[in-house]
This record gives sequence, C-alpha cells and structure tokens, in this order.
Amino acid sequence: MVIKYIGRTHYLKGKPLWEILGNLKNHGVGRLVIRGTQQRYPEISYMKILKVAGLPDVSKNPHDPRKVIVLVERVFRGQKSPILVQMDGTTYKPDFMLVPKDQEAKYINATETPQLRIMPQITNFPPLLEEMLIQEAQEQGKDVADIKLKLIYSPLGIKSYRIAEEGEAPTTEIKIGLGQPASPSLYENIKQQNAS
Amino acid sequence: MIRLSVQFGVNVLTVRNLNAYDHIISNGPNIQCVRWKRKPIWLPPAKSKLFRVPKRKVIPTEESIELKRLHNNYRTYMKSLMTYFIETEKERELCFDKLVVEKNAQKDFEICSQINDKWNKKVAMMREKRLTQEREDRRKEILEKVQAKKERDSKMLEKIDEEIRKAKEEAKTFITPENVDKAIVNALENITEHNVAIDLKGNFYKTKSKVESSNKL
Repeated sequence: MVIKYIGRTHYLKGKPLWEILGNLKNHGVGRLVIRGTQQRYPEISYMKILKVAGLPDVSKNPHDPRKVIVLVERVFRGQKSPILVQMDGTTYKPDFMLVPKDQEAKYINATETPQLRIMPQITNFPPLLEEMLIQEAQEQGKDVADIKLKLIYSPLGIKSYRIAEEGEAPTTEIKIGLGQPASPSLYENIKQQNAS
Repeated sequence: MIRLSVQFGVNVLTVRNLNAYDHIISNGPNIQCVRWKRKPIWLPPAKSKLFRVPKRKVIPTEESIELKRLHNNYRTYMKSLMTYFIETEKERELCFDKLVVEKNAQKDFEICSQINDKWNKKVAMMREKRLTQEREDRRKEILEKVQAKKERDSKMLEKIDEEIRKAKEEAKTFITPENVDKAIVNALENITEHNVAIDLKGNFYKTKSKVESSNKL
C-alpha cells in the first residue's frame, strides 16, 4: 500500500525508535542512535542504548508509531549528561537514526564542545522600576548600589554556559535594549539616532 | 473596506456575531477596518482554505542566530523580572500573616499602653497638686467662716445683752397691779397736753392760741 502524506510537513528525519530497535539483535542494547533534529549543531550528539522495554500498544492503526521505554546515555553537543536518561514520551517520533557500527568510533571519539559562555549573575532593572526602587530605598535609608535584578537561569539540561562567579566578568550581557548583535551585518545600514 | 453582511451557512449565533460588526464597518465610505475584516477566530477554516498547506518559512542563518539571541535575552530578562515581582509579593504577604499581624498588634498595644501610662502619671501628678491646693483652700475657707460666725455670735450676744439691760432698766417704770393706783393718780395729776404747735425748726409752742380758745368757748 502506498502511503500518501497530506498536510503540513515537519522537521523530523528518520524512523521511530520502536522500528529501529525492533529489528536489531538484543533490541539494540549497546548501539548508538542519533536524532535528526540534533544534527543542526556542529558538535556531535548521540544516545547509547543501555536498556530497552516495550510499552503497550495503544495505537488504533497499524501504521501509527508505537512507544518504547529506553534507558540511554545521552551526549548532547559533545557534552555527556551526568545522569542516565529514560526516554519514553518522544520515542514515537520518526526522528531516530541508527549509527552504523563502523561509524561509532567517530561519534565516541569526538571531543568538540561548544564554546562555554559565562552569563551575568545580575543586571539592571528597567529604567522606571529602577527609579522607583531607588526612591523607595532612599526613603528607607538603604544602600542604592544594591538595586540589581538577579537573573534566573534554568537549572535543567546540558548547558553550553555557566553563571559567572563573584567578581568574574561575563562574556555575554543581558539587559534592556538591543545589546551586542550576534550578526552585525543585519544592522549595518541602519542609521541610529543618538538619543544622548 | 465596506463589508456586506454575508451569510456563511453556519449557525445563527456566529452569523449574528459577524453582523454585529457591520455597523462599525459600514460606518462610512472612507473607513478601512483592519481588525474585523477577517473571519472571527472561532469559525472553522474557509472551504477554499481547508486543504491549503502553507509553505514552511525559511529564515536565513544570520537572522535566526540574531533572533534566537534576542528571544533568549528577552525571556531570561522577563523570567527574572517576574520572579522578582513574585518574591517581593511573597515578602509583602508575609507581613499580613496572622501570627505576624498579631505580634505587630501586641507590639503596638505595648507601645500605646506605655504612652498611656506616661500620660496617666502626668495627669495624676497634676490632679494631686490640684487636690492639695483645693483642700488647703477649703480649710482656709472653713476657718474663715468659723471665725466670722464666732464674731457674728459675739456681736449678737452683745446686742441681746444690751437689749436685756435696757429692758431691765425699763422694767422699773412698768405699771404693775401694785402700783396701778399710783400711776392712775399720777396720770390724773399730770395731764400731758399733746396738742402743741411746731414750727419748721422743731420748736414747740405750748401756749394755746387765742383763736382756738375762743372757738371752744
């Protein structure tokens, strides 16, 4: 039967994990699997299968993808996760590709990691709020220099940045306004009015 | 853009909602309505658009990097700001906690009662002073009154004594049953003539006027 796809396309590239692991000896334990969406990064990302278990079939159509529980050792952008990761909810996505055994060494021996950015701990408040806080502090006789916004970063996931320690100069800045553009060529022909 | 009321062939409710905008839209020939020109969001896709597959937009790498940076910065900043607001609000709420409120009320009461005690002491001192003064004044007043009464009494006694003495002296001339005969005799012997004349200076004229005597006769 020829399957005719209709509707919107997606970015995913590959097969569902069930389909890959079901065809392998010992359900692919010890093999490497990569995700299609993670191939946009220049660094290497892969998952090593450690343990496989099936999930009950709840699909109504035999062509619907099935889910599987796998315990993997995840390497994302060249950085290895300190804990083992269980994947179940995303395994139905047709986004997995098996790494041939002869190419496994290329993935395992890769050492390239993204450049570590140092993020600032604190930043300025928005101008009006800052003024209000300064006024409030002056009324209460507090120190005005302490009025800084503490930046909140997500504690989860494998990061390519770390938060600056006390007295350390951050490499990137987060503040109200445009900041340092990542691609300055976009701003080349803009005539900026000098506000000051 | 002037919009005619179009029947969509759906239920009356949605059509009515559509028509509700007509008065805004067809309010003049020069109005261009931006907000209401499309179908309302709750209506299903138009039949002509039902199977249309929009093309995936391709964003250049340069732009996508810049957009990602801006979005990341914006989200981090907003999350931090929101967290700050939530935390300050939590601190503020802590001030209205029941225990804290009770504690503050107790503290406030203590301060108030201290001030009240101070005032009470001050007022008590003033009252004591006033009362002693009043007592002193009253004593003086009473003493004065007693003195005055004594004086008054002694004066009265003197007056009475005088009257008694006078009465006693006069008592000798009283006509009593013993000397009534004598008095009658005496009265008969000494006839007192009260019919006298007096001039402006108070001189008596005891001699009878001739005219009068002749008249009598």
